[in-house]
Order: sequence, then structure tokens, then C-alpha cells
Amino acid sequence: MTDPVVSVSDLRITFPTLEGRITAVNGISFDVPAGGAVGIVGESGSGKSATSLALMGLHRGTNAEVTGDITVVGKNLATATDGQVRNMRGNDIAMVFQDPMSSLHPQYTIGNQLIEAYKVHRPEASSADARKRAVESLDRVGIPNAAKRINSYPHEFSGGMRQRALIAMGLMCDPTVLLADEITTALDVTVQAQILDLLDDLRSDLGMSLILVSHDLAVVAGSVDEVLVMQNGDIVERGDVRRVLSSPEHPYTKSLLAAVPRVDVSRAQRRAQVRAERTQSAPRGLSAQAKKALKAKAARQAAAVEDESAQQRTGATAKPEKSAESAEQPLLSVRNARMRFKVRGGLLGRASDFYAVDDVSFDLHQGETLGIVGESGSGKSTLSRMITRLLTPTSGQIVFEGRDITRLPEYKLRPLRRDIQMIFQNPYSSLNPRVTIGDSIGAGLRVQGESNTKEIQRKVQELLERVGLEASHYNRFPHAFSGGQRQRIAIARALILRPKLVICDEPVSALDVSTQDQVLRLLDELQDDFDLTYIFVAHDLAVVRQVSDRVAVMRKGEVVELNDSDTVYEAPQHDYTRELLAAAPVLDPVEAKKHRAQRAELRRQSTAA
Amino acid sequence: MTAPLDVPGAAEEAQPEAVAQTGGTRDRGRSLGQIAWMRLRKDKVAMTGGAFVVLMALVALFAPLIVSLLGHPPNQWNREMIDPALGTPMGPMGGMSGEHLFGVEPVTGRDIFSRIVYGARISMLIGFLATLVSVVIGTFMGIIAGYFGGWVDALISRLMDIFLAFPLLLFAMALVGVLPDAAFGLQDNALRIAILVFIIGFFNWPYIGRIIRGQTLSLREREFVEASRSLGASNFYILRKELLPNLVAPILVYSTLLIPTNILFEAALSFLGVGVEPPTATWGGMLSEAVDYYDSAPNFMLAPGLAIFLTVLAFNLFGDGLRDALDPRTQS
Repeated sequence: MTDPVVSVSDLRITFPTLEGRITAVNGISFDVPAGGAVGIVGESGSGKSATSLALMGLHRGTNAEVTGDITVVGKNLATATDGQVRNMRGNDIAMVFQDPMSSLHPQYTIGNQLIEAYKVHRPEASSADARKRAVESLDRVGIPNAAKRINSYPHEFSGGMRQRALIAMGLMCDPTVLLADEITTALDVTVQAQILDLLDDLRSDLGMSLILVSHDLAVVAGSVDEVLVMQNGDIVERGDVRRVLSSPEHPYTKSLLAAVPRVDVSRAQRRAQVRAERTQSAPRGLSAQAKKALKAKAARQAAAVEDESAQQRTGATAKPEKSAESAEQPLLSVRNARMRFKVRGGLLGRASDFYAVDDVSFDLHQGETLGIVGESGSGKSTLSRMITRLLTPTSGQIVFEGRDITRLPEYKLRPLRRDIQMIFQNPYSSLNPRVTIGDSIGAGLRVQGESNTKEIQRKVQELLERVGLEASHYNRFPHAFSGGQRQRIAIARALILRPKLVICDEPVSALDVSTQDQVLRLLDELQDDFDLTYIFVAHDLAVVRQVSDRVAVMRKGEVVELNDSDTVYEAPQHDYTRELLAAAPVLDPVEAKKHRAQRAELRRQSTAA
Repeated sequence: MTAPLDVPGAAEEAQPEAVAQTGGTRDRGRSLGQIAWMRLRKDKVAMTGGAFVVLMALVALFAPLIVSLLGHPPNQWNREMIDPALGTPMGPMGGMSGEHLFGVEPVTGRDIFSRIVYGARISMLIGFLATLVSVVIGTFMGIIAGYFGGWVDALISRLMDIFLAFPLLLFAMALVGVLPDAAFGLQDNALRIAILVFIIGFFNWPYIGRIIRGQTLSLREREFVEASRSLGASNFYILRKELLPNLVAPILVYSTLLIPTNILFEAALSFLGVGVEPPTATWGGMLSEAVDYYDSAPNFMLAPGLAIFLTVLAFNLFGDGLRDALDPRTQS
């Protein structure tokens, strides 16, 4: 093999904080071979981003202290002058950043920004040459009609196109290495798949080396040869991606892999397993009776799973359990719900109508979980806010326990708020930073008329323990908790009123994989203990499959497919569902290659048609 | 495709992940206020400013005591200190001595030190009260405009524009000019002070109002407000329990920055002769009298000038430091 293009040895990065210096990266070493692709995987705080910034020499002039050697295409970063480092950036190693929305300058055209990136390094190049190159580069990353779109401003591009434009910018000077830091995190699954496919093409066509940094093992799985797993600033495992993913050695890698939600694991399997584990591990604070009930449930569930798979083998499709349920009155029934927003735009700022939710209907039964999947802008969040009546539907009906709540005024809605609760996406903005968590959780009781402070405190502390926190946390402020703990607090707040229906709006999408898994388990346990009905809104197909009995697939405000979870995932009816499933990242590198081929095929078909 | 789920590390109950990762010495129960205080304490400049502010407040509060210990009554004429021929103070440096710390005024011979000390009372009193008026009105209007939006916001915002366009100084001079000696059950100085507080406070609220409105606009969109609404909280509850605690920091910061502005405004009004009536000592009034003697008795001008300058500077330094300490975005 030739010399490595990037070589890092004993890299150590520390930052000063109020509590003294903290070590972000703790003496790591790795090489990137010419034309090779290396993935760096880790949860937040593992030091992966600090590492990628160090590769670009971007810690210079900050408080960070960097020691160790970094060699990029034969140049030692530690001894290079500022001018040499600037010359290296873009020429030898180009970085593509995470957030395509904020990484492009809003006041310059895409073309200007690409040309600038080129001319910084090639001052002798003529404007015409630079422009030609920019068009080529945009064309290369799959922007249609590049010669024209080069004059567009960033706001005229969609998120996926902006990320493409950023990659094009990275390609302007033919870098030897492309460094991509979480470049697909802000994107929808289908767009993510396109961008990853693009990187793969570029690598094989241009012979570039690729460093792909991500928190998501599945993103890395299909795109790299070698993977480094980072934890708390150390590389805990490294090796061929197939080997690491199929037979991980380090316990951290194992737990990380176990926590990744898998699109091929069904709800019944997961629940049966969670319940079985619960009875085995004999959780504290659970009465013998409850345990017995759980055991029975687990046994029933396991039997059902066997039944089902037996049915699948024999080809039977009847679902006797379901038909009995649907005879009862549904807990929630949404009929032809529509939500219209006025959008200003065009000449004279004339308002036009935009339906965020368009003619959606479904029934939801007690104890059931309905998953709603869709990409951003599909209307899933709007729909969940309509059901909680944070928004009033433009037309249609929302019937809860046989009562039409579509247009109830706020004061009549108040008692009803006990029954329908919501868990929000972002645990950082859904908790008031200036209110103690005890008060946050207890607020529900207080606004519903409970005034006995001791009683409120008792109930809150009980619930805090139930969601896996401590009663003594009552007087602490949210900033003292991690993302996962905050989401537990948010869950406790939603449950304090003992609701019947809980709407979870992307409850785990802001969390690391391992935390995500724990929160999903908690939600599962609580559903058993409190007999909850869930509506689970998410963009992650695998997560939705594991928690939902039925799944609704939304696109542009409409439900395109609504069926049993297993049917949706194993025999999708609608093209869009198939497209989504093909785009979902998978952990198995071989499988990922297959999916990539499948996507290429789908694209060929659509361009041919 | 449906492989059995064998997950090695998952055989435990769902546990909170963070207990293990806390580590370190970090006290997790610390409130944001305590963190802000820690940061503020490290800021030497702000702490010096704060100390001076506290000192001036104490001086104003204990003015009679200080003067009885260190000087002469502020309105007492000391003719024996004045050169009868020239009307200027006798002795070096405008009559500075252990007896008269900052010297004496020309013509009357009043003790400058005691007048500065008593002047602090007027300045601080009007500065604080006027700010209080502005903050109360501004917070109320700002939070309502920001939270409810729509026509309420439009109405309040236009009202703010009108207030900001008002020729405040001219209005103050006109109002004081036509003022009777007694009104609203108040008379003389008490009435004058009340009027000044009203004018300064009532016309300055839009500055605070705009800031609070802007903050409320961004807070309103946060999910915790939605969460509170979905629990069934009323608008009043959300304003009081969810929004107001988050506005304390900006309110505090802009109050500390508004007080010195108001002190300056009061000084300007007194300088123009529409402030508190003589012979009551005010810094602005002293400055205006001192203008005639700037060459013969520079200490007469220097003392109130420095008092205003240092107090305003101290407030501003403290306010800036407070803002940095309370703002999580600034890095120390």
C-alpha cells in the first residue's frame, strides 16, 4: 500500500472550562490510506468533532490545546505556519460541515462562493476558468442545470441541494481528502441516502480519500472501509467495517450496535423481549402482583409472535386479535382533518393556501401505538399539534372518547388536557431553563387545580423515581441534566396527569443511540404500567417499526399508507413507502451495498419514465 | 430478513445514562443564578463598578450621618471662608482642608463635600425610581406585545414609536415651567421629584419594552410554552410562571444600564434649572452654578462632574459585566 494521506499520532486535545481543563481527545492515532475511506463513529462528547477540526488545523487561535502529530499529504500540521495551513485547507483536505443551512453565506450566490473557494488557492486562474470549474463541480454533485443554478442564492436551494453545493465547494480544488462531519444529520432519509451515494460515487470516480464522521453507525456502514469507534476521547475499537459491525470486540461497540434500532425487528419481537427482560431482572419498586401480570403479558406476547410467524409461514393473514378490538369505540378518531396555512409570496405578497395536513383520517384504539413516519414538511408535527388542540384544524373532526373536541374553547378543553398529553422533540427547549424540574413536572397538577404543595411534591417525586431519576432531583434546574435525563423529565411531566393518550413528537431524535434505546424502553414499560395509548411521530423508520402496532406514512400532508406495522415494512403498498425503506440506512455493509444498487435502479427508472 | 433479536448488552433495565458520565467535581444542583455569580465574581472590572455603586448607595442612604461626622450642613453659608473682595474661596485649592474636604463654593462658602453627598441622594433616588417606573411599564407592555402578537403587538409597538419620538427634554421644561407649588397632595421638592420621576420613567419605558418584547417573541416559540399550554395552563400562568423567570436576566441588565442614563438625564434637567429647586443640592445644579467659576474655583466644577462621571461609569461597567455573566453565550 502507498503512504497514508492522513496520519495522526498521539493526538491530544484539551479545552479550558470553569471546572478546569477537560480532555476532548485523549492520545489517538490513525492513518487514512490514499483512496481509502475511514469512518469515525461516536456519541456526542466522544471527541470526534474535535478530531476533525484538528485535521483542518481549525483549533489554531482558540483556547484548545493540541499536542501530537498530524500529517496531511506529507505536511506536518504541528510545525506548519498559518499560511501553509491555509494553503493546505481546500487543496489537500476539504471539509464539509454539518449544517447546510448555516454553512453557506446568504448574501452571495452559490457560484460566487464556489469561485471564491477556487480563487483563494489559484489566484492566477481567470474568472472564466473559475466559473467553468464551478459549473463542472456543481454538475458533478448532481445539481441539475448547473450552468443556470450557479447564479442562485442559497435560500433558493433545498437542504439536500445546499449540502450538495457544499460538497461541490469542497471539490473545487481537487482535494486529496474529503472530510465530512455529520453531513447528513440535518437531512431527511431519502436525501441522506442520495448524499451518501454521491460521496461513494465521487470516491470511486476521483480517487479521493474520505473521512466520514458520524454518530450513526448505519450511516457509516455502507460508505467506508475502515471504522474507528470513539468513546470519551479514546478509540476503543477499530478495524474493517464488516468485521467491526458483525463481530465487535469492545463492550462499548457491542452496546452501541445493540442500541441501534433495526428496521427488520418488529414491534412484537421487541416488546416480548423487553417484557421478558423486565421480569427476569425483577425491577425494584414493582409489586409481586405487577410482576406476575407482566410475566403473563410477556408470555402472551411471545405466543402471539410465534403465532404470527406461523401464520406467515402458512401464508395466512387473518388477525383475530385485531378484529375483536375494532368492535369497541376508538379512543381517538380523526376524520378528514385538514390544516391550512396562508403563505405569503409572489407578486404583491399575495397569500396563497398551503395545506400542511390534508384530509387525514384514522382511528386509534385504547392501548395501541400508532406510528406516524414522514420526512420534514410532511405535516406530522402539525397533525400531532392538531390532536392536542395546540392548533385548531381548519376543517374535519377530532373525536376523543366519542366527544368532538375539534372546536372546543380553551376553558372547556382544560379538563380534557388531563387525558391527552404530548412529549416534545427537543428536551433542551421543552424544559424551562429557569424553573426547577420539580416545578416543571408539577405544573400540570397546579394548573389543573391541585393546590396542596406537599401532595404535588410527593406525586412528582414518585414519578421521578419511576422514570429512572431520583426524588432528590426535585429542586434542580434542567441544565444539570443530560439530554436523555431531560427527556425522562419531559416524560414525567406528560404523565403526571395520568393521561390516556400520549403523543410523542420525535421523542428520541435529538438523543444519542444508546440513550435513545433507553428512552424507548422506558416508554414501552410505561405503556404497560399506565395502560397508555401512544401516537409516535418520527422520521426514523426503524424506531417507528419497533414501537408501533400500526404505521401511517405521511407525505406532503397526506397519509399515503396506513396499515399494520409489519405489513407496511414487509409488504409496502405505496411507492413512496418503498422509496423510504430503500433509503433507510442499514447496519450490514453487504446489505447496504444492495440497497445502494436498488436506489440506483429506482433512480434510473424514474429518469427513464 | 427477520433475524432473531439477540442483543448482548441490553439485558438490563432502562437506566439513566448520565449518572456514570457526570464524573468530575461538578456540582449539579447549582442554579443559573449561582453560576452567574461565579462568573461575575471573576470579572474584576464589573466587581469594582458594583462596589462603587454600592458605596454611592450607602452614601446616599447615610448622607446625614456622613455629613454630621465629616462636614458642615449642605445649605449652611460659610462666609468666613470667602475672600470678600473677589468672592472666591480663601486658602489653597478652593479652600480644601480637613474641615472642608472638597473645598467650599465661591460667594456662599457652602461645603462642597456635603453638597455632593446630599446630591447623591437626589441622583440615586430619581435614577432608581424612574428606572423602576420604566421597567414596570416596559416589562408589562413588552411581554404582552410579544406574547399575544397580532393587533395587540401592533398597537403597543406604535405606541412605543410615539413615545420614542416625543421631545422629552422640551416637554419636561414646559411641564416644570407651568407647575404649581403644590399638587397631588405633594409640594415643593417632593412634588418636583415626583414629577421628574414621572417624566423620566414614563417616557423611557419603550427602551425596556422593545427588549422585553423581542425576548418574549423568541421565548414564546420555545417548546416549554407549548408544553405548558398542553397541560392546560392559562395565558396568565404562562406569562407569570414560564416567561417572566426567563426575563429576569434581561430586566436586571437593562435596569442597571438604564439607571445611569436616568441619572444623567436628571443632572441635565437640574443643569437647565428645571430640576429640583435650589438650594437643595443636586449634582447637575452644582455643575450649572460652577460654570461661572471654572477658572477661579475649578474644584467646584470638578467635584460634581467627577461624581456624575464615576457613578455613571460604575453603573455601566457593572451592567456590562452582569450581562456577560448572565448570558450563556459569552465565554469567559
